Amino acid sequence: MPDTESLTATTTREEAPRTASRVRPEKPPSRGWIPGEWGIWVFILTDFSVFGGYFGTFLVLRGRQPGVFRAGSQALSPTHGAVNTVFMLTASLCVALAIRSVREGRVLTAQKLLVGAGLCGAAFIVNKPIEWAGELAAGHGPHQSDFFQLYYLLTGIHLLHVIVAMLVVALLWRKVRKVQVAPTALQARYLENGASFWHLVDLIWMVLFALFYLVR
Amino acid sequence: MTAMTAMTVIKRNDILVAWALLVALTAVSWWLGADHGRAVAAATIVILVLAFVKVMVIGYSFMELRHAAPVLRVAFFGLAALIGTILVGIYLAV
Amino acid sequence: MDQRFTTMAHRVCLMAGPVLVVLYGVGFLALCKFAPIPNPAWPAERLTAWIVDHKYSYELGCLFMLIGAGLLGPWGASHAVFTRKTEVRFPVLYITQIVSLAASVAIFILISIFWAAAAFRAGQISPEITQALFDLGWITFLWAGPAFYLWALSLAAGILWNPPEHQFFPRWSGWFTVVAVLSWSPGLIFVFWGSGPAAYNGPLPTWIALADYGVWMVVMTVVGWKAISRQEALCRTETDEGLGIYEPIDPDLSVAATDSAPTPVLSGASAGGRK
Repeated sequence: MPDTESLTATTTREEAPRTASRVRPEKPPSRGWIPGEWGIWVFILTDFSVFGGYFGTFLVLRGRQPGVFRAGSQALSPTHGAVNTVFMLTASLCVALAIRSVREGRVLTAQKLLVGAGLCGAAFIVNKPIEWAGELAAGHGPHQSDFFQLYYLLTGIHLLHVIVAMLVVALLWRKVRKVQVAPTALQARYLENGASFWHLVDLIWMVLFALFYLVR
Repeated sequence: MTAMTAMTVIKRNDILVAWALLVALTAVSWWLGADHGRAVAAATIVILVLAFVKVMVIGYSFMELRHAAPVLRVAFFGLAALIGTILVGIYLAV
Repeated sequence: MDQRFTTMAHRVCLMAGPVLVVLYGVGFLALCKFAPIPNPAWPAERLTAWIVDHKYSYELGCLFMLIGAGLLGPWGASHAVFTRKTEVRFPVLYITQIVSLAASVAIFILISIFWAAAAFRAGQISPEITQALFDLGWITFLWAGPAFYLWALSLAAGILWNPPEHQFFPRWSGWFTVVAVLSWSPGLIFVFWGSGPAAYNGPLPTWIALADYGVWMVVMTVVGWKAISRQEALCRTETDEGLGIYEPIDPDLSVAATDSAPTPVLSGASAGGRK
């Protein structure tokens, strides 16, 4: 239950000074700081390594069939890819700003930012099948070549990650609502874990975009 | 309060600056990816390197690694650099 | 009721994991020679010739993998008991874990059976039958997935959602298990492709997933060993009747016959004489 101070001082709630048990200092403390917890970074580094394996597979196959892969990437629309990249980056921006806001106790701002992130993520999720439909209509199905096999598979795996990340953003939104003045240590861990997962999905896309749409 | 507001504004700008940089790098990569005919290999290597620079910028600013424990920074940036280098190596080798 | 902690049984069950990894590795790579894995796009005659070419080595490899498959049960059990520890009254995660583990063991064994059946009369019967049995082995290998995923995910949920005072597995191992399942999951989509990187001989459904699975088993073995040590340390401090650690007494070392038969010592109750 909110205490009487914050009920009567509605303006100060948004501008409350940081009094959380986990105030993030400007300089790292001597022990070092882990956003979220070690486990989420084990997750992030492992998932990125697994995708690294996928990226390596792409380039090895590309080396063996350069013509096929070049034709494949020419059949894709870099504009679609670039627009999706901006959606991803803007969503990450919103999530990062939301974390900062919630640390400062500005819960409503954080919630709005998370909704913004959700909208960008939704735009990505809507755009992807539209793009796929366009490719299929042009005759580029998943059985046309190794390029398109990997294209549908890897963008599909990434899309699943985005859908999970949307669920994570919804959970973050719910968690943020419970924050009073500043997050507790457990709340901060939860929020930072979720945010870090979102950024992972974003950075995977950076490489996917380069490999499929831009590499010649 | 003014000092904190100023600090807050600057810190918030840090993330916005990172975002703007990432969008700019995306635009540069996009331009390089357009079929210019010449120097395809060089353009491709730059595109790959820029992709991993973007990965590192996301890690440094959005994922708050700028403040994180050194061992985590080494792990993240080291892994990104390693994967990037291996990919460029594969591209050049095959 | 005797509730003493049986360290030897625990550690032996846990070491079944590394033995599995070695047996499966030798069987899969060296004996069956699944490196590279035959391409599903090969005509049936070519596959049959490949099998016949090293038929007995292949069958021995299947045998190694069969034995390894059975060892999955005890390894999983050594982790499942820790999940159960925090769920005594309503053990949903524990039951999910052991049910899925049991299914995983059964399917794991079936894989070797199908692969061995493919080679049993290879060259003597129609190559299409050989190929169909071989494919059946691969489809089972990759579509065993859901049983394995649920087993691993219920283990991870137990680690991440455990009350902290029962945190015998570090939280990062729960996260690592979740990402491991994620890396295994592309194994499900291979059915749509007869060749290429997504086919059953490809890196995405098989190699990357297998490599991650091997690493996961080693990591969880190390983590599990430390968990057993922590539990052992905890049990040494227990003084109640029926608790503590079970340490078998060697009758040949017991004191002379005038005493009554030596009773097993509760290590929590005695102060000295610890190894």
